[in-house]
Amino acid sequence: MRTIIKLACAALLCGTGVAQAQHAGHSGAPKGPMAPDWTAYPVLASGGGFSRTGAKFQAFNMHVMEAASYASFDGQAEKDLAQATRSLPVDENGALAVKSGAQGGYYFVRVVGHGPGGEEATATTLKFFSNPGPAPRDLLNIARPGFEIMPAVLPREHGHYRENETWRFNVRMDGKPMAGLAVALETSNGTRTEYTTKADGSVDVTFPHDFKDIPKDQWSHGRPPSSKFVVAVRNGGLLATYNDSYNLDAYGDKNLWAGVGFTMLGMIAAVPLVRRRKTDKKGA
Amino acid sequence: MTNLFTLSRLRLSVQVVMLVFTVYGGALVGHYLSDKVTGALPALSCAYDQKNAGYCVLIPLQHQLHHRVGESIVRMQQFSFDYIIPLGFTILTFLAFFVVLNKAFCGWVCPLGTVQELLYKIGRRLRLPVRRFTQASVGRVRPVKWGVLILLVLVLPLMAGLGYTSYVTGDAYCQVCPSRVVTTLLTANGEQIAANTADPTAFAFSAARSAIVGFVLILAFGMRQPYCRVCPMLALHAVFRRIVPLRLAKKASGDKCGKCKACYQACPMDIHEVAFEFGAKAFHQDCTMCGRCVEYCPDDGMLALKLGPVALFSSSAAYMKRRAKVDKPDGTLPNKKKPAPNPAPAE
Repeated sequence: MRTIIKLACAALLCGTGVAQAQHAGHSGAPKGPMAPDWTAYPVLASGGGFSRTGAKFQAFNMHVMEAASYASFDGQAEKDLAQATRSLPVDENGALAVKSGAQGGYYFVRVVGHGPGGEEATATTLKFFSNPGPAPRDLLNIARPGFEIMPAVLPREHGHYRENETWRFNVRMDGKPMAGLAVALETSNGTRTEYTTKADGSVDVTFPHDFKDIPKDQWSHGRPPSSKFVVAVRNGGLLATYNDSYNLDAYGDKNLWAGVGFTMLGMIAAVPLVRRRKTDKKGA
Repeated sequence: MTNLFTLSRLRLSVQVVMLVFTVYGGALVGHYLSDKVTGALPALSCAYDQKNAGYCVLIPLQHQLHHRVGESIVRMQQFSFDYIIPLGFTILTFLAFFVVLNKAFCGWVCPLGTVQELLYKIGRRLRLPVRRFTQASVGRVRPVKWGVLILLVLVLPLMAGLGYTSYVTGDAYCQVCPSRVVTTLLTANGEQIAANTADPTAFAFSAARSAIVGFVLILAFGMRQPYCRVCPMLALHAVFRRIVPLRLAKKASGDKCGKCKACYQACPMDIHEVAFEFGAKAFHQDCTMCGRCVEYCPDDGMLALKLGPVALFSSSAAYMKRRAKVDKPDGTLPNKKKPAPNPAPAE
């Protein structure tokens, strides 16, 4: 028994050095975002300074004219959208900050300007703050002016987009679905794929299995870091993008058969306790 | 026909409805966390189940101790009540639910409790032997739940936040909770039974979790509620059980009581105090308010499930006789009487 307790303590503490190092990393000075070398599409990158009440962003690959944030809300009326919309100041380098206040978890950040080819471009991303507030359903589905590509549904809190998973996005122009448009998916792991929107303006995007080449020295907590992706769609002289991050496959750092094996071991250990013994038969 | 209407059958119906609701209820209430009934349910409704209707209170407790309290203590210059307030709200939300049903969240709502009870019923159909803790041995098991609550739910997440233990211990209890595996398997998701190979600590926790699940699922065929006895939710409930108007009540005295021990035989948690103690002492910290002791008590009015001064269900000899025809106090099925042989036809 003493040996088991010693082994358990060792297992618990074996990550101590790592944990403390990670804390040191967390409290370090925030670094500014690097310009993405994996895509030429307009994207919004995290600009550091994230807290539960606000976050900074930096737009890349576009010249930003205006910026806004959209908090999640309940309702489908224009006034609901207007109440949830905040115009954001943006500097000449495309840096901006969004404040969540104490309420609301889901915030979309959108910048409008000119893309790399001079086209009218809209780039959108999402920030989730751990605050109570409405679900983002209405925010995702309400008719907004302009050309946009938006997720149909978001990963739940503690959930993520992951390798090999298929998620739906909607392409709309002034709230109306746009069919037959080519949607490009680019990831920071080097994948380039293209899809086409269906009649209802939706497109099902499968996140590629492309984490395998990330060097181990970039891993944290025993797994590779999140990777970036952007989905982009053009319509004439208009360009709309949505960027976010995705994670390793659900089973990428797991072994199903080992887990089943340990379950079987537990079952085998319990079998003697539920078997009929000779004393049971005598007593019966 | 009257045997159809028993408290146990009512409870089983509620349990099955709550099992479906807690495991698949996201289809009704919605997909996002903000849609859920609550993030602080006093039952093991697991957040790893992406289709559930509410989160177990142990999840925010651990996360707030890890990410807010622990990490804010590390950055003392940033410490403020902003980090404590969410923890307070989690406990208040838990209490708002708990005050309605008290420990009946264990006996009537918890999905893992329901699965264990259903397995035990199968065990009775298979005529497997019944395993119980004796009065002496149950005393050795009871403190374990307090150790699990203090170590895995409170201390290790805080230590992870302070940076003294691995990040995996930030939700140490969830790492080993069998409900995480059972409820996700019910949604055809095998991810949580898989061994986590991210690092040695994560591997050790996930291996322990899988082994616990296997052990509990088999043991439940022969023992009632094997996991409930060490569940930290039972301990958390025990802390607050006296402040809630809904409770198990027993008379302060009684000459006949303590002789038949049918209530003790009926108790799935092997609480002998319900037979030998009187008054408030009979409502033990391990009680899940399943009501079986009340059903099998032949002493009129000796035991009752009460809401304040109002008895919702009281013991009675007439009910007990009817109830015993369905199953025996320990859940075994009554022996079927062999029909008398037909008399030989007259010559």
